[in-house]
Amino acid sequence: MRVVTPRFLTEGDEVGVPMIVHNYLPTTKSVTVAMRADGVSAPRGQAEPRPQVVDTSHSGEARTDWRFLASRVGAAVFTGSATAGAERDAVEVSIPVLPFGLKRSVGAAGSVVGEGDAKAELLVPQSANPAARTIRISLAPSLAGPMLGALDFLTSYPYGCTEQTLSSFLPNLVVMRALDQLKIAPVERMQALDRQVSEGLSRLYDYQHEDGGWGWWKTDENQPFMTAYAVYGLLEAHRAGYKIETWPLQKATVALKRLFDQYPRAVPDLKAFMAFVLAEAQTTPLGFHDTNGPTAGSQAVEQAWARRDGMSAYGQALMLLALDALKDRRGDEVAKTLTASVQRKGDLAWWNVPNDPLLEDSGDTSVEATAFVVKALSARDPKSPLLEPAVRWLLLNRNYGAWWSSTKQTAMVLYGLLDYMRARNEGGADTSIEVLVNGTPVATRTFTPASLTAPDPVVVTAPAVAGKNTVVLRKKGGGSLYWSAAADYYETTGVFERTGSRKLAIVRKYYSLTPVRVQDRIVYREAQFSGTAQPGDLLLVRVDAAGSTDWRYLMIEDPLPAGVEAVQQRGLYELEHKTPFWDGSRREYRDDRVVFFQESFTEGHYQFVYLLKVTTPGVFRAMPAQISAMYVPDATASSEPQTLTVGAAPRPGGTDK
Amino acid sequence: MISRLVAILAWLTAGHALLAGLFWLLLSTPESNVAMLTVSALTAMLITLVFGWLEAAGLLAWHTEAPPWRLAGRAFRAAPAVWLGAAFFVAVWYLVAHAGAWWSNHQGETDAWLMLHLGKADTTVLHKGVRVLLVVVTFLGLSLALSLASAVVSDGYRAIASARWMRGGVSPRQLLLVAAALFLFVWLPWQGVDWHPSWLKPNWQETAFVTAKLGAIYLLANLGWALSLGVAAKPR
Repeated sequence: MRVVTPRFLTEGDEVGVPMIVHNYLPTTKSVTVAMRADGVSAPRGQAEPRPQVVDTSHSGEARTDWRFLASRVGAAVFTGSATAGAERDAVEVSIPVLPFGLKRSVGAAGSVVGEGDAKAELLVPQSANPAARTIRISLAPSLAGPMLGALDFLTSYPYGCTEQTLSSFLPNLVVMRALDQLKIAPVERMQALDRQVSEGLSRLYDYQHEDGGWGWWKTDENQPFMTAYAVYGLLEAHRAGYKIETWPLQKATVALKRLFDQYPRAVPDLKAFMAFVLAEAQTTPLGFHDTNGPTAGSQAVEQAWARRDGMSAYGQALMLLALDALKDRRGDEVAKTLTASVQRKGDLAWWNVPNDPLLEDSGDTSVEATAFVVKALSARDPKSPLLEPAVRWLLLNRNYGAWWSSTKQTAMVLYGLLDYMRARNEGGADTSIEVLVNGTPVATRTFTPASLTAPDPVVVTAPAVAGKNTVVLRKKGGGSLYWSAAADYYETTGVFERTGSRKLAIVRKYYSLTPVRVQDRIVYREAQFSGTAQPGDLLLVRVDAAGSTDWRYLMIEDPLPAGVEAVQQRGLYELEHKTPFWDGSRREYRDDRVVFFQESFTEGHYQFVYLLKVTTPGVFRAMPAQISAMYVPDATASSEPQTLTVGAAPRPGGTDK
Repeated sequence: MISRLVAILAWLTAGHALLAGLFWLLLSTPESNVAMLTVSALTAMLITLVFGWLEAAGLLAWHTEAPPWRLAGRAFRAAPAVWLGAAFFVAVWYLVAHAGAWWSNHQGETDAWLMLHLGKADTTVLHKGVRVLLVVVTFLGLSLALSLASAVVSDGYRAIASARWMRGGVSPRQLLLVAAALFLFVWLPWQGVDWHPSWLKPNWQETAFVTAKLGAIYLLANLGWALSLGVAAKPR
């Protein structure tokens, strides 16, 4: 026997659950079938279901339909049984009943350094569905986990131009040394480090041109950025205690100064990068006579300073680093300029640089610029209120959650994050966090040095109440804690109206698809949806999202009505009028929803399209489609809900097949 | 009428070829030192001068009975009138381009408003309508620019103060005839610029065909322009 249920129900849905009995016995049988259901009730005005008797012939099957109302949130458990004399069978199926309402979330985030408390107040409206209110707290003890994930990308990158050679060993070197000093470096990585650095340095020496400079590859012309980056790499390796060959480094600093002087009208940001590296060379004891002279860095910084008006935030951050390396007080002015030019949205902060001034390329380097600002500000003022939102923005801008868009970008971000970590003195001390929600302790978590490098945060959940919810985190021990707390709930008022604004709105429309024959092919013709369908029918869903063009990281969640399945193999159905299936940056099919992610919104209007197959009879409600900016609290819009009535599937003449 | 049209057409066809040559010279001038930069600037000024002189002669030829080459001296003095018309058109075009860019940038917000208040997601008709409107405004600017240049060429600068050129520029007759001339002789032939018969062999035949086709399109475009000048020169 089979009990056929949808994958889930929404609170208030009415569902028809067919139970099919197969007779594999040699004779016709009179079978008593019964259905017990927990977590659901009989539909309004109908009696509780009673056992039914059906006759089934040998190898035949009989179907009975049972109707229920999903009256409460939780699990619905259907237990079907069939009895034919001494023969018995039973089957139990459990499915979730999801809350009715618009899913909402309010949150807060922050960090604690050393011992101390953090507190967040999260407001849940009185109208929130009482059956579904949750507090979710995420705890991470360090930035080390994300950094190690990015290092894996860099060390395993399969190509090796000058920049990639540097990016393959230099971030590894500086990050691992720093983690080692903090006593949280994984042993197996430290063991591999010397070999990786040694191989990287050999390759870098091999790529060096006769005159001391570097190009993209071994045999091309000198390139200012590559030369400056290579010198920076050699200096960092030298500082980390690695033995650097004197002659290549000596030639390199001379070549860098020559390139700096050779192109007086180079892009100001590039001049700033070269000046920064020359200043680093000036302030690093190299153990040999620098033929550039003892003030080459200062002279370069002076020249770059004269061109500061043409610099982006990237160049300004590099200038700040150079000035601070030389202990030049003009850095205060640059720091002020950077603080004034920050971009803010919600809990995020970043600096926009729409091109790559170091490579004179068109790629956006806001991530690199932000990382260098973080690097510069961390050294000056570790408690700057811009640092935490900027680090959050950097972590959110990773590709695939682990690294940034290129080897160069990943390496530059790691330099920034590392200095931030150092400035906050993230160490390997044992840390204990007690979590209290509304005054009640709900969890205690302990982080040891070994757990600091774990890639994922720890998540704690607790029930929420209507009104104000207070989350308190009591931290004992050293080290840092990065936390976020969110209250998730389902809003039940206003569910039947569209919400949004001129800045963000969403509309969802269902269409029925009817198969028609066109030139010996079956194609599907689109028509207005009446609200009713039969099992086996195909539906087309168009979700339109529109708004201002500056949104980023949008999530479009379209809840499905129970009783349908999203069609993942779209190519199986040819539409009469070709429809482009736009999936945004990513599309995910879940049991109860289809989710699209749209990284940027430059067109201002996007239409997401997918197909549904109707499977189960009943009356189902699809909650409104929602669009929300993932990192901007309260930026949401929703469509109207959709009711879908599915009639029972036609039976082929009686109960027997 | 026909002989005058032929004369003006010949004048414009030859003149525009000269302009194209000067433009090619401008593009080919490497602006690598002060001397070459000066050559570039002089070429740009020459193009402006020749343009004004050519079109002014075309307009004068429609105003008088003489062929354009006999009016070369007078046309030279009337060239600023053409620059004035051209400046007017560029101003309109610039404003329309900005309006179009603004609309494009706020298209998403307009759609969001319509979706939120009317539940309407398909806004294609609205946006197409706006694009058509912008084209119409640009065309209106062209017609007014032609009228302005023609009025100043014929009556001098005092014509600017008169509303006659404006009435002429927006008169249904002129709008219709200029639109018809540009549509039939410029836009429509241009649609065939990439076309060639599939059976054509990739040898001298193809070269000859493409040369003849592009020559014909060029001639027709000049015809369309000559007629537009004529319509603007003869307001009723």
